[in-house]
Amino acid sequence: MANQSKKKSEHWGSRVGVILAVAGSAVGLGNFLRFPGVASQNGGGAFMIPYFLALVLLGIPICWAEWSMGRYGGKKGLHSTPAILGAIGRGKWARYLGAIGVLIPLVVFFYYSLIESWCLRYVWLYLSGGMELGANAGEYVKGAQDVFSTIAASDTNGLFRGESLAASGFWVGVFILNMSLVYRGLTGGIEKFCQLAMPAMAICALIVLIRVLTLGDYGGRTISDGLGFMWNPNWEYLSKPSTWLAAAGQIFFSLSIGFGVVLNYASYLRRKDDVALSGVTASATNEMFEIGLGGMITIPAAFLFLGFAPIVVDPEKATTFGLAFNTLPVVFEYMGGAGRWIGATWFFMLFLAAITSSISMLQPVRAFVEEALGVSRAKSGAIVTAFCAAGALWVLYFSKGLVGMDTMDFWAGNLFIVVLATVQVILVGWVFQIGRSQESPFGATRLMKEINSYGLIRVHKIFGFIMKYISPLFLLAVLAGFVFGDLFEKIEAMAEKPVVAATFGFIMVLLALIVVAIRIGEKRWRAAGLDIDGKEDPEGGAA
Amino acid sequence: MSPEAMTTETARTASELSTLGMSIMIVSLVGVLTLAVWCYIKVLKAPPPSSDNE
Repeated sequence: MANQSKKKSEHWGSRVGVILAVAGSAVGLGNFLRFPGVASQNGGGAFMIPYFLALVLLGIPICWAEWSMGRYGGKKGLHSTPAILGAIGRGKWARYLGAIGVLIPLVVFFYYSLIESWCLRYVWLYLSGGMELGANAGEYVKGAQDVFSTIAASDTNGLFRGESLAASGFWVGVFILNMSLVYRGLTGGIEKFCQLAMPAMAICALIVLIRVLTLGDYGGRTISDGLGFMWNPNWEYLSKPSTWLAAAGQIFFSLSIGFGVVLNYASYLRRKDDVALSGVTASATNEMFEIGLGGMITIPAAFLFLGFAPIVVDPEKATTFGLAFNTLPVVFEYMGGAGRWIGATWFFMLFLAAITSSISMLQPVRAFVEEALGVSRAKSGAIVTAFCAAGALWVLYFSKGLVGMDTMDFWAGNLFIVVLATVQVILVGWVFQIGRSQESPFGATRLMKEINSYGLIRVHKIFGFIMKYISPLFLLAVLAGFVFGDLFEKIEAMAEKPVVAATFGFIMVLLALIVVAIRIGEKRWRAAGLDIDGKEDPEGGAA
Repeated sequence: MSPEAMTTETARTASELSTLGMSIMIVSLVGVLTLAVWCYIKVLKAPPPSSDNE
């Protein structure tokens, strides 16, 4: 068996540690802000039917597939998405398609680090008493928009000018914190931080939740009305395909499927570590944050103070950014003196949610650089820092209307992750099976064997059928929704807005560099005797 | 949002949390909480993995 790397293998310190790291990666702004917005706009309580179906048919099966693919790659001494997909998909096409598994976390980190710095800036403003939205309720909405546009410097392009100088200072601090956590390694940095940050996040969310649920009447509305707005079902939405697509999309983005993160994290599992129970535990943790906390806080509180109109009549306000930075500061202002502390707690929680996700974006990129170029941790850290600084400064500079960030979010944070997840599911469900005599025509038998090996629970074989047939169809539907919904509009925008075209070009240059690095890596991996084409079974024998 | 959809939404949201809405909320909350607690109990009670002999 030629899968021994000369370097000492890196592993997670504990089972709970890796689960919290994966859950930390999944729990992000989308849990607290995107979920309630999407649910309330797609039938309220009725939305939970397609949501839970998507969780069972799409979310958990793909999580299991990613965990098992990662552990399989790790057994062969491979930790980067291109190398692991090459082994799963048996060849160079799968390996080069894996380039987007490096591109996605890299590009998402560029703008996620900036959002983190905004959250921290809001914490500072609340704690220092600098959050002033206006003298009376009529000025709050305009005041919140002004604060956000000042912090995000969304009025004009440029770096280090006026108020944005302070914002850039916060970004520098956040950037250094991210890099230092990842540089400390898996157990000393990421695992230790997530073990502290996840419980802290839950405590912060509980404090805000208790305050929201104990709010009194406002303008004739009660918190029960707010909960009614979020949870009362409108069954008509179940007949709309868009509701089912929205549920699939929410599950998909919420669980961080297709980011290349779980593949990388799971590659540091030991050969005999469980993936079946760990995968479902990480998913359950994510759902607890999403439904138990996200579904109970933002929309009910916003509805209580602001009513129906700002949330549904202007759906933009119910999207992630609108809800976080425009709507909720207004809600906290209405809370009076306590609002200052609740606001600080809320934005600190969002900061923790964002940083546990952003460090998970850096690790796969660092692993790829180290693996492909054969450099030390210090050198790979320096290379990743240089690229991340360049990308984040790009987003910081093109801040007018947040065009740079929106463009990166559309391509890397939305479209490419659906593409990568689809590629992964097809490779693991179909190509990974080739040559196995015991393969059943109805299920991904080899994948199921891989998921259940050393498992603490036994995953039923029906999930082999789901992963092979249902999940790819579900993903292709989500992909089609993107292509026909937003893709053409974004391509048209490139012709009209030079910044959109330039940002897309920047992403493509990065992709080309990653492809070159894979080419360099291929030669090194072959020379080192690593089984990058998946020809050998890591448990012994030919694949 | 179309005027018809708006009317439907207003009707849905004009009232306080209904019994059905509360049931969906409680079932969802209890469901994910139970799943998470069951998972963590199983994870914590599981024996450590045997050596890899690496």
